[in-house]
Amino acid sequence: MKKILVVDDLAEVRELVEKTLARDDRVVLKADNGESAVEIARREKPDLIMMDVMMPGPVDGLQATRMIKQDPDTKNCTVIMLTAKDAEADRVAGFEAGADDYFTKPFSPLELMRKVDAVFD
Amino acid sequence: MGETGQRAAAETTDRVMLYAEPIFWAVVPLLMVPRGQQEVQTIAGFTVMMYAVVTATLDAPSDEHGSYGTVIVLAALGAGYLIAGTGVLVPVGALAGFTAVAILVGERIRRLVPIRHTAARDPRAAFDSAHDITDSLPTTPFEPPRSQQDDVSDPPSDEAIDTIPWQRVLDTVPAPLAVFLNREWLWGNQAFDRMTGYPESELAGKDASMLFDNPRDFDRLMTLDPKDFANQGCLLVRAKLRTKRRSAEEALLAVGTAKEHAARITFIFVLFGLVEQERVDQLVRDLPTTISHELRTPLTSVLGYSELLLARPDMPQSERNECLEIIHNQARELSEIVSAVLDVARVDAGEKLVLKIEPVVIGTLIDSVTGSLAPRFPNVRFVVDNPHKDDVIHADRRRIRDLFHNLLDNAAKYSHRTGEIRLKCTRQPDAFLFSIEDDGIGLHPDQAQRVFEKFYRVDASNTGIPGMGIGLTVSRYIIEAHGGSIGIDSETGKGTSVWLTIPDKPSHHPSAGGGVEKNSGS
Repeated sequence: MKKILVVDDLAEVRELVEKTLARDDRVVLKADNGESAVEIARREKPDLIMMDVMMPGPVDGLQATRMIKQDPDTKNCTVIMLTAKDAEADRVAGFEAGADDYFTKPFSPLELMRKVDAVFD
Repeated sequence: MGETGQRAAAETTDRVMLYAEPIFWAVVPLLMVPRGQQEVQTIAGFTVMMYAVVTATLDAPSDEHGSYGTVIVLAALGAGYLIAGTGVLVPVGALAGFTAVAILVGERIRRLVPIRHTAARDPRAAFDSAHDITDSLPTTPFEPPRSQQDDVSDPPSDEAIDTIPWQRVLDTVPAPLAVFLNREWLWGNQAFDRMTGYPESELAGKDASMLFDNPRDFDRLMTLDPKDFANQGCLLVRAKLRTKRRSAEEALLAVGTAKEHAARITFIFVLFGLVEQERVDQLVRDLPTTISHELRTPLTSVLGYSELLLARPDMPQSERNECLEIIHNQARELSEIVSAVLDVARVDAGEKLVLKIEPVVIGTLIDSVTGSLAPRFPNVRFVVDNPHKDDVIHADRRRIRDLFHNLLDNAAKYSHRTGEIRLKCTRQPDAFLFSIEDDGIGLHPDQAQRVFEKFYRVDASNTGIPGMGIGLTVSRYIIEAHGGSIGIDSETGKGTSVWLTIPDKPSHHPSAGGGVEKNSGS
């Protein structure tokens, strides 16, 4: 069973990613802010995290990614940023925070599906 | 502090010189009297002449009247020595010397008296008088404090000013202000720093002309005599200013100037121009990013869910409907954003909002709004207290729906997407009063005052809550166009309450902000 954690403050987007990635052999967990994302990541040690950047609260997606990638317990999980921020500098910031890949919104569910299949296979 | 100490020392030297100089010069002409001292007298003559030349070169540009007087007196004194040095016309030389010294002493005494007079001994009185100045400066022409109205050329002494936390006071003034000592930049308030974009280290001690597009503009300001505009208190001038980020921009300046001893202190307030322009520039720079982010969010759902529907024809019907509902809601959101941007642009361009007034059943309106928001905020409870479900308001259906949608969406977003949002409807004699309350993060009073301003966002960088900062602006335009009013009550950490009224007969109360279809042919 592969575990996927979807982090986004918008319920519609969380659901869209869940619908896109859900399969019988996968469990999809959800978080609506950076803090609980880090907490769930530590507890559940997911294989993949889909991470939004701009979220309310003290910890945004970049910080959460940094925290996850710095923690020896969670640093091996793949983090894919999924954000509306599409400037060159935003991408660089994402990769600097430790992201393994960067997807911008709006995104194609089919493309994301293939990408994630490739990560797991 | 080192700087204050240095200034105090400089001031003491200045004062000692002010008293000692006349006494010194009163003694020296006596040297002209004895015969047989020609060499000494000639050397003294040349020295004083040199001093006159140096004074004329260094001081005159910053202190025309005082220094020119001093130069003439010194020249006369030097001439006296030189004449005495010939050994022939000693009495003539001595007379010239004495006359010159008498003038010098007279001038010094005249300048001493008002300084003593204004050196306030009571720090509290000094503070009060200074506070009046700062309060009146940004909005009204500069009025010198009462004790100095008779003689504008003598500002309060440094001693009096030093007792005032004037930098702190002036930092709170929203208009940019800079103070110059002679030609040198001395201090600027925070608004000035923001406007110019220069860090203090880049300005300190620099020649003020660097802030002007034409460096000679500042030279012109320096030739102004405070007496010339004593009646207005300050002079309004237009000049092109230069900042770190921007090329020349015309600005309206209020210039006040005062002289103390040989120094000229110049105050420049930027009343209009760069300030507003700078804010607009920032908005224009950010606008593509802001708008694209705002549009991308609903677009993500519209495109994503529709692609999913197309890719999975085998999806169960109930799930398909769920997707379609989300697509519909998000497309509607997109349309709301576009309408809001257009409405704000129209009102800004001086157009009226043309309302399409029709009867709207209150209960249906509210159900439709809360219904579309509920899936978006699964952890928020929308509590509606509406005894007037079946009553009808006369309003622009689409705009009023957008308005409630926006206000409830705001309430949920600024409540960490959890908790309770209370919507209440009450009857007033000729209107319905609606209120929307949340227990969210709330606002400071100064933030609450500004939320209806266009593009104003509450700590956008800290809250991480997306938005363009036009939701409440457009709400106000819409409500005013209906002839109603809107307001906000809020407390930090406690929550926010937005209230609004929709009059029964909106067409009879068209306000400045808008009009209705029936009576607005323009």
